[in-house]
Amino acid sequence: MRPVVRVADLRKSYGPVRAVDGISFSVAEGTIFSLLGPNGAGKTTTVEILEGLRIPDSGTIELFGEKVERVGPAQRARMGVLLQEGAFEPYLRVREVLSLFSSFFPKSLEVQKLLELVGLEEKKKALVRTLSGGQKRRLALAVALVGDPELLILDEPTTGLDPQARRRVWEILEELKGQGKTILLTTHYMEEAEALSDWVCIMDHGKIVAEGTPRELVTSLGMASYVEFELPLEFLPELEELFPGCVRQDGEICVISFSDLNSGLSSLLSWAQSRGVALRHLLIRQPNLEDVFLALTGRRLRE
Amino acid sequence: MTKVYALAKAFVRLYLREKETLFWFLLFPLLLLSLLCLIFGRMEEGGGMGFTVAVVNLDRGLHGAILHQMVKDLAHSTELFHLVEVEEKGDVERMVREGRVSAALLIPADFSESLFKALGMAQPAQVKILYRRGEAGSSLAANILSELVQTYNREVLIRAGLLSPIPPFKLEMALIGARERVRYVDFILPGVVIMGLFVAGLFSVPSAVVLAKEVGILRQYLVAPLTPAGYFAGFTLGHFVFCSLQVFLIWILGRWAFGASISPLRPLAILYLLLGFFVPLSVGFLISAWAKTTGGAFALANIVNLPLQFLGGLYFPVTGLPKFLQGLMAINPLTHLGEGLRAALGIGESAYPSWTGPVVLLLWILLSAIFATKRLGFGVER
Repeated sequence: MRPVVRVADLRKSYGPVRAVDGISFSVAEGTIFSLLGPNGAGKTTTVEILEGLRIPDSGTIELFGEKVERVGPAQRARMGVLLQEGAFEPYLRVREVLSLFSSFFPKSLEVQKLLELVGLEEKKKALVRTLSGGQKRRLALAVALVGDPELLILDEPTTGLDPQARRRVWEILEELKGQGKTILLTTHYMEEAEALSDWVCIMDHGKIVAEGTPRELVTSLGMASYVEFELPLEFLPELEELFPGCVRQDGEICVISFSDLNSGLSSLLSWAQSRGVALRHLLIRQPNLEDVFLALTGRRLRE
Repeated sequence: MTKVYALAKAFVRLYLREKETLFWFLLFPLLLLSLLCLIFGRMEEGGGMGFTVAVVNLDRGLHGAILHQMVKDLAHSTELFHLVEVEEKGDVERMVREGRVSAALLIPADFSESLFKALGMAQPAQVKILYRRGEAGSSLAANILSELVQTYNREVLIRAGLLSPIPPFKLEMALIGARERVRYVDFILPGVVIMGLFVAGLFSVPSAVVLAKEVGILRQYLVAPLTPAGYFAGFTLGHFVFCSLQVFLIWILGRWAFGASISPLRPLAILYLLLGFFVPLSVGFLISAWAKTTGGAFALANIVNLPLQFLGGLYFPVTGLPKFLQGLMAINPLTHLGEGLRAALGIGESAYPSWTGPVVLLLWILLSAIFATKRLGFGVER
């Protein structure tokens, strides 16, 4: 699959702060590519450079197979963009916003179909100012789709949405991927990246700290399972001695990673029995991207 | 062009849907014109303004009667004078003092008799005019009464053969630089039109553009394949349609409700109306480029607007201002817009050579547009 986006050694600083520090990646056609990282990791700056809203200090950008010095209307005509902090004229109606933006693109999708797709057909005559935060986000998604783009750049597409609306957006993105669209999204929700992405780049402090498919990234930890339970703090040193390098305390929760769950869990339960300790709220789970980020940076995604 | 039309249509919708914009930029100029015409237009026709004068005629002779009749005739001939007949001298003094009458003519009991005796003598007969000190209306009424008395004084001398009926010189009063009689509505209408265009450009443009910058609307447009030039072309076209509606409504109101006779359909008037549209639009864009918040934009627009309005000669004559302020007036766009449009409509003449207006106004447009384009950045950050 040919890359729709290719970025090499991209750099952008704001004064002494290196927001994007020499990153390189490529997004294959017809895939969902996620930039995952905490707030301030450099995700938004990266996508804003690709949208033409920021000018990089250095690095090369290729879009749709062509090297571009500066992203302009010719590239934007083939993209749909959902900004993290975009907005629409408050006194326009939902349908009018979509009609207006459809006039900017050389080809466009039918407004009625878009309204149905994002679940806003009942609100088509409503003024933008009367929409809820979630409805505004769905309108922004419809606007990103109105030009029938080859590439969708979505900056935190589900931030501010309730779980049901978030699921609906995921379904829409899967549907678009099925239609052969290429999607580049940023998120700080690891479950979103995990559920949607074909390829994930984990960013921190302007750098890509890891990349691969979600499965590859998780497998790279070498851990089969995580066991979590509530534990009084005084017992922590004993457990650290029993499972060296595998224990961490997260508030009142103790987390132990096991490469072999059967033997690890049986050792833990024996220790608890011998010491008379109750492992309250015990939970066994698979490793996820949050664990990958934590293992790589020592911090959680939402810190 | 489809993009520009679509955007212009959207901006017209926004203007017409925002109540505040509708009130301040469409209804307020209409209210202002109505108010000014109702107040000052009536004064021009003699309504609403006038003096109450009193006459106390204690004389029972011919001359007292003639003088009394002259005041009555004056009061009948114009609504400016309302006449009150008073019997007692003490009463009329009190009425003047209390401000119930502006001035009073007091004809003494022996006026006719002493006038006969006084003809050609050193000791003339006397009448008295009473008025209040320090009050312009009272002084004006007293002057008019005084002029009336002087007229009769000359008439008596002519009839007695003591004064030639042919005056030694003639006074001619000539009106220059304007139509013979300019009605108030014709004078104020161009002023209200310019004020409306100016305020719309200076306040509505920054409020729309700065809000678009502030909340991310501008960025949303720019990530669509819309160039900054396309955005501003659409905005300008939308603003032009709105301002044309504003000018049309002001003119229709002036014509149909207050009988304005001037027509804007003259090439030079259309040129000044176009300049009156583009100057505030470009200054509005300049303010949008500097202001970071809508609140800041309003403050900046006020800082620009107030001195320009006060030194623009729209509301009061500025000929008596100090020299340095007159220098500022010469570069004030409102001076040239107001004077230029009035001159183009044939209701006044500009104090400046005819080429200065368009040149100064074009310079305002050019410089504002250059600085605005350099600073605005169109949402792209380096």
